[in-house]
Amino acid sequence: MPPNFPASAEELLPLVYAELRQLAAAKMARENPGMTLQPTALVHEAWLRLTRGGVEAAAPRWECRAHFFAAAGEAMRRILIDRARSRRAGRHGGGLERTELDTLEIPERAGDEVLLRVDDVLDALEREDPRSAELVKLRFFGGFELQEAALALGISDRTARRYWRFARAWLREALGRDGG
Amino acid sequence: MAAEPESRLRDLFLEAVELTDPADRDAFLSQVCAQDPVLRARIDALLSADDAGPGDILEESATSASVGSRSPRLRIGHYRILERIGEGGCGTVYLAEQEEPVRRKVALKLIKTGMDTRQVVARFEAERQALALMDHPNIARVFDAGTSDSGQPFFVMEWVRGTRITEFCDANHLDLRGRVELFLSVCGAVHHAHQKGIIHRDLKPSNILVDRPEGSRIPVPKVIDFGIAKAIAGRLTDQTLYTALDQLVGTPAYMSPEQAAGGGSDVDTRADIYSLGVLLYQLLTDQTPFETRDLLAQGFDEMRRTIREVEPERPSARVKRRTNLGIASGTSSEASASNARRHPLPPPPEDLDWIVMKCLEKERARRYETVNSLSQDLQRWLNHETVSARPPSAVNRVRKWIRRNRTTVTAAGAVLLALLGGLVASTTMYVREKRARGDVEVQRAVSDQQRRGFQEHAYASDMKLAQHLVDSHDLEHALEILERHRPTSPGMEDLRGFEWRYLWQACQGSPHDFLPDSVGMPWVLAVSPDGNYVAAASGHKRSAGVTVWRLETKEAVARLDYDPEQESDAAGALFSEDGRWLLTAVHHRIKFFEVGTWKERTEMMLTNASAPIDLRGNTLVSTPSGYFDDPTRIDSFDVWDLRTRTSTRITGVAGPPTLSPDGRRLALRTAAGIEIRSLETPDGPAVLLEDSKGLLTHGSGYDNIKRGLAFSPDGRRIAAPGVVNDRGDIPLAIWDASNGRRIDHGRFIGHSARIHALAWAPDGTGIATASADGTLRLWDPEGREEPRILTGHLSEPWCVTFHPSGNLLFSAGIASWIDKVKLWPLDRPKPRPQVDQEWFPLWLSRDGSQVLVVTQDRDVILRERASGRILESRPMPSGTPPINSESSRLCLIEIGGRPAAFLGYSNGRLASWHFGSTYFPRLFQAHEGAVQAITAITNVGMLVTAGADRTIRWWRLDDGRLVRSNRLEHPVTALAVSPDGKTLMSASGKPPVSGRTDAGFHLGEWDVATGRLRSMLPLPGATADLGFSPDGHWLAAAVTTPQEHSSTHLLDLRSRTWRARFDDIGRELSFSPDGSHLLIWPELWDLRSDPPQAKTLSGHRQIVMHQTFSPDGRTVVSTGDDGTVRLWSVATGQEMLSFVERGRSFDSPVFSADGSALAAGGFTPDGRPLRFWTAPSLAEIDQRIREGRINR
Repeated sequence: MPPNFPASAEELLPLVYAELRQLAAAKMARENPGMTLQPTALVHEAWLRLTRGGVEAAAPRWECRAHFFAAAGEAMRRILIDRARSRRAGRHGGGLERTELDTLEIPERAGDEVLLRVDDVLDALEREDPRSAELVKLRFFGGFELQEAALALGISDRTARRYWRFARAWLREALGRDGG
Repeated sequence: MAAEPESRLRDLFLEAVELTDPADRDAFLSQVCAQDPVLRARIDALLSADDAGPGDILEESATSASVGSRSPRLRIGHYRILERIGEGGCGTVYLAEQEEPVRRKVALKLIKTGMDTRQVVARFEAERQALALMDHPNIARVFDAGTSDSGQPFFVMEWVRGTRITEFCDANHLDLRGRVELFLSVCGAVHHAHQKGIIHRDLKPSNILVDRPEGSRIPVPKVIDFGIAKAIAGRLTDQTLYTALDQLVGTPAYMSPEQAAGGGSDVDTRADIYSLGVLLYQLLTDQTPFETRDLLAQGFDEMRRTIREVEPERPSARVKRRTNLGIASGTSSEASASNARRHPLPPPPEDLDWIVMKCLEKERARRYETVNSLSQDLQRWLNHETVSARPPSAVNRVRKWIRRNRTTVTAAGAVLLALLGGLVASTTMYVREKRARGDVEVQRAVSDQQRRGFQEHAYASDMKLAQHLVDSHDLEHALEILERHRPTSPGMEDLRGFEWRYLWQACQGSPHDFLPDSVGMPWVLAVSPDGNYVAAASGHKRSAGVTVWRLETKEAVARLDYDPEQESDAAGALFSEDGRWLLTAVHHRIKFFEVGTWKERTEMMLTNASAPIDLRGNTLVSTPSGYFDDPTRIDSFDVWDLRTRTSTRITGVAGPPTLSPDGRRLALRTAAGIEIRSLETPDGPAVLLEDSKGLLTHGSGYDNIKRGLAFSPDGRRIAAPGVVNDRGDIPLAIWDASNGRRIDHGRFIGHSARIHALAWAPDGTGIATASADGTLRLWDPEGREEPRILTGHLSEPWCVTFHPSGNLLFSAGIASWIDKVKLWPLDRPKPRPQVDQEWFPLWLSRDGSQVLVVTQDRDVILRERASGRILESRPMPSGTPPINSESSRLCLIEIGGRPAAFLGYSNGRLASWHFGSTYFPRLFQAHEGAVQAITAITNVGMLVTAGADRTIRWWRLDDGRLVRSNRLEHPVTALAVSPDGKTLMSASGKPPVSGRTDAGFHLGEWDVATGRLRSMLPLPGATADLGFSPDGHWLAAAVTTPQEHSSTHLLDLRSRTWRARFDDIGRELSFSPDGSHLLIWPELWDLRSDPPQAKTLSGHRQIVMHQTFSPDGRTVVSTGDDGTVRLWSVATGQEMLSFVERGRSFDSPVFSADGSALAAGGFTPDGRPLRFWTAPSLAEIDQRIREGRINR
């Protein structure tokens, strides 16, 4: 780990968040609104950028990685939620009618609602079990496969599977109570 | 390692969830939550939430890999199997339940094994988009396709209750009218599909189910299986056609002549019309034109001939003949035979005869052109009008007319006609005819437009499908699909663009040559030891024989052991090691021909031997059974000593053996596996090859093997195809011949279908394999290098062998009528040239042979595309700012066919790179402030620049002299010249940094000839870019308002009014070459409609950097950060072709003006190498076809 590389996820967050924002902004700037971000790619790219200079080679300690990815999950969540909120706000804006040829686009947009609802209850899960919440952030917001998320957080596949099951039940229950 | 955070709720939940018995669970929770009812309630809530099982919205951004299915035995994919509802030719149909995203019952069709699952699914995926567009009450929707755990493809479609249309008609005693009406609904469905570009290809009663919904009297037919026949129809070689007829199509009775012809002939909507004709025939007569049973009894060739050549009896004649013969009515199928009708159908009227026969024309151009015209004719018959199918006959017309106007004609009509005579009659006729003709013209215009739309849609879908097929090496099928779009009639639009030509080239495969005049089905290729001759032994009916070519001239020099009176399906050929003899075996005896003279030495013939398997020195291995390489039929073989002409029989084998290079050992298959025995002591201990027993089981890739067992030239190793792995790959297995140990370590994986043949390179440094997946592969036996893949065979490559020099590989596909014996040069292809520090392409010469490249060293170079040779380099003086699209303004033009680039910098300097004979300065101060815009007006030889210093300056292109300078109130931000070169447009406004919102943005119109300002129009904001459409009808402006709202505005130059506003600005303004479309990524706006309509080009996963139109304006090229270059149809917005390179990005696509080359730049981890894709012109393709220099 480089000397001034913050050690904990909390310390890392502003750094990761800024990096991801910048990356995402660069990618989204002046580009098409229909474009979807690939969160996994973004997170990995951010990791590479932050650790450029052989951090991984010099100190392949999992804490560094795990903290980074925990922070990245949170950062990704914030970015996506920001976008979903602004998209929802912007939907009332007018313009020319667009011909919707590709019906496949629709579920993606409906995703905003789910995104925001999951976000609403995620804080409560975090208070209950921070590790499961990290998993949800990476999986749900970051688009990580379960195994990938397990690797990123430095837990075993089996543990990740179990935590995910808990998180899923927890979220379902919370979302159900939420009136969904 | 940090401590895991604690959560009691989580831990208890996870413990409870593991307890599957509810009683256990309850006891556990009662105990741990005894003191905490709230906790207990929370856990119970979680458990019931968990009970909902896997798969909901939460899993959407991840796959549900974490959760196994609950009842794996009863699941296929995500579908729960409820019951089996049918067994078809190609698979089993189940009633299944889908749970996500909606709960519904569906029909799931599980395709029989034996087909290449990946290809089936890929073909389906390629058509999914089109299938999704189908929405018709008489079409059962196809929802999904996938692969079951056991690797079988399956399709999921709407579950349709009901009975076959034929059975329905019989059971409900429908009369002719009722049958025709029901049939019309089917036509409606097929027509709908055709309009979406989908051909059914397998229309038959079992695919048309009729149901009478509860409470309704109207029967509703549903056509099922759309898109499935196409997906499962693989390559139709002779071999598979048997299977195809038997399995895929179920019955050949409904197959169109062009489908029966197989092998390379294309299939279009008219094949469906033929099948509809057969169905109508059956509905009218209870029989198909040719009965399946009779067809199958005829044997393959005869059946094909019948379908293609024999004119069927007319329906009415069939019924009459049957009635005369007193044959009970009823189809020959068991189902309706048991359901014999009490009221036989009357012979259908003549008009229906004509309609049916028009559908059944052998020549498809003579059939109805669309299903719609068939429907119209049937409708006419129902309305008692004249049908078009009938040959024009005055009598018939009159008869019909009388019938329709029965009352009038008999009463008033005759009187009127008699009174008024011909005059009135002819006037009325004239008026009526004229009106009718008007309708026809309108109709034709509409249907032309529809047909065009249909054609465009089908073209775009087919290009995508063809690329899938090329990627999976199914070149024959790919070519077949491409050929569908070669215009065959004057009315057919030629839509073939870069994508078609590129794919056609791809279908030609890796560079190779071929030997002419091959015949039959080649079983063995042999090369003489001196390398001068190549022999191919072919079976297949009466064309069996051995063809010999002289390699130097590629001429066939001999045709041996050929007997047109005798049939043979298998054949063999071998050169003796000393090169003196060619041994052939075609008709159950081994003949010896002298190499060179090709005279037979009859006294050497071995009559009680049938096929030479292997020959080393004087040791010949042959089979006595008449089959020489079919393992299921070889249970013994003979080892001959050619000196004594005596043989020893070895029995108890399972498949053909092979000799070691020294002729002293024999590798053979037995029940125990593959054994190596010494010929000197055949009963001595054998070396059993490790794991070789499984190779003998059916489906392991070993059945039907040709020369699938081979010693390395040094005799130390032996290779054979391995057992199929769980991904469906067939590995190449290699053993140590001395101890039988397997030494390949599973490294040689890649073939996706069975390996038919393999051969060692003469020096032992390579192994060539020929596989049913359509490819040849060259493996490094040490496993150090990636295998080389050779594509180009149109049928399954069946045999493969090396030239003694090792520089050439020979191969032959199973179907010589579409696939010649091929020669593959084995010298390594040269690596593609790469120029260091490439940045992006700027320009391609008209013919695509030269490219102008911007490099990272502030240089612009002109180089040869193919060789990479630098023709001219023009490095900038040091101190020039870097070339960067953000800070610099670029203008690229051609002066006398040579490129010239002008670049303006933010410090007001102007740089130029030109490769012609102009004297324009290389670098000078053009403005006092930043250069904001540059454009060239080539017809007057002028370059115009605009600067932040509020001037527009006009420079002579030939010497760079300043001609004039106009000062404006505000700085100019963009310039554009009209296509005719007479008008210059400028956009000006206050600098956006002022932060003030008052107006002051203007569009200025300048007269190029005088340099005077003609007029000013207000603009809504700062304009970063201006562009004329190439037809001069439109001016587009990319505008950002003071409120930071960006939009593209469109000025109609004909009416001089602002016509449209698009809510976004693109990275660049792209008009199609004909001005009909404006692309503001990802929306492609059609400017011909009012208001403009957009199609969204969706498919890129990340940002699209740049885009361009092909010179013919029919294709959009986009380049993205996702490492893809995609080609889209302008007409339909569909993606047609994509080039993928993982781990890089693409940008700056450039087309050559002749449409033959496409270039793009972009980042890779190691720099920015350019990529090029090329395609021959249609003229070149036609010439190559004429000269026969093609893969067909």
